[in-house]
Amino acid sequence: MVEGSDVAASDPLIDAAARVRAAFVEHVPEEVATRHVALLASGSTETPIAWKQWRPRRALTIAVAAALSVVLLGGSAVAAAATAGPGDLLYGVKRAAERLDLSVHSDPSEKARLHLAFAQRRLGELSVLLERQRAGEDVDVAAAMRAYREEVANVESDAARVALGADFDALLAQILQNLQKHVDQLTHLRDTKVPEQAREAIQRAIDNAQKAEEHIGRGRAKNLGRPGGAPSGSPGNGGTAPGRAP
Amino acid sequence: MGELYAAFSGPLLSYLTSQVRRREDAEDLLGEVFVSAMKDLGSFSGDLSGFRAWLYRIATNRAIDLARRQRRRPEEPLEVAEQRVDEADPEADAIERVERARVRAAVMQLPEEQRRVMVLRVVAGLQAAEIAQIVGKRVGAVKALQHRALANLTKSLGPAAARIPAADEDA
Repeated sequence: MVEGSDVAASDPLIDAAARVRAAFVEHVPEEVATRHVALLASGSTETPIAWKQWRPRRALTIAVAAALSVVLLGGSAVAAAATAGPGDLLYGVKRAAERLDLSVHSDPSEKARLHLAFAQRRLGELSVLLERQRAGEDVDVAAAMRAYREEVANVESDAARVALGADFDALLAQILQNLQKHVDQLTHLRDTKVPEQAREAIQRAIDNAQKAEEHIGRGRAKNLGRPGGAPSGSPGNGGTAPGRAP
Repeated sequence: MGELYAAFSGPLLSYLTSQVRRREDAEDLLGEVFVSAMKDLGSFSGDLSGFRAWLYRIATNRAIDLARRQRRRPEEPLEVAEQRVDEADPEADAIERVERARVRAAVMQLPEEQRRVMVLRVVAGLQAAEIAQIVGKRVGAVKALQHRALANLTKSLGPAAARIPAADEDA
């Protein structure tokens, strides 16, 4: 609202300000955000500043952005984008921002971790969509399901490109732990929130996550030189154990 | 930069649509602002408030450059940058759309400096001191421009056809 010191408490002026504010509310369309993300990504490689010099700056950018979002915007814009689901106005911005974050990472283990985090987001969105579907809204649950499966597939393919070493094992352990949680969440959704017609799709997502667990578990076992599985007590141990499947 | 984009792209686009004649130009400028910010981030120094003002200053300079280029090409038709109403707010009814179009048209009729200052204050939510940095004027001059802009708008608009909620009233 207009500051009292800027404009004497004059209702017509305050009303005019409110009308202007409402008239200029804009949301960036997804296709525009996508175009800009591509532009930014290409700029990051073409810029004369060496990439190595950019890394700390990018870290600074993210830190500044996070602080800014809270201090200057009250977190509203970021929060709105962060909580946006498929079909929401800010969902395109949210996905575009994710693609941008991916584009500035060349390390496959970092990319795998990002995809893992995005897969978790897709699950959260799926849960919200299912609630809305139950409330009678017409929502595209299948698209949300596909988006989740894509993220899991990306986790798998990026993990496969990670060089062997200590980080590789830690990454696979993290992935297995997370995928196990995903399977549990999906199972819960399937059994509690999903209408009959969507259960098959959920089951496919569960199967998908379990297959990824198997592939990654095998890779981890190979890396550890222990045929048959990871050490006892590790997060990935028993990731595909019988009886856990729904 | 992705998080920056998510945080600022909407407010910056709102500002830019008030500074240029075509929506496509505003969208293009938005991309240029972020590319420019990314390239020049290393040269930025200041506090958080200064950072936001810096982003809007880049946007302002880009809009001014474009306006100059367009003035050199007067054959281009002048139009009010239209809001993507259907995508932005599918439930907005016809009365609201008419009201918004009317307000936007009235804003675009304001003298350039008044429009810039008023939108930075009212739409972008910047403080007068921040706006003063962006437009290179004193705080008192900024407040006077803002007051004149709103007074002119009040005269030209008259009462609202239908009260539409402000952005921060929706939340």
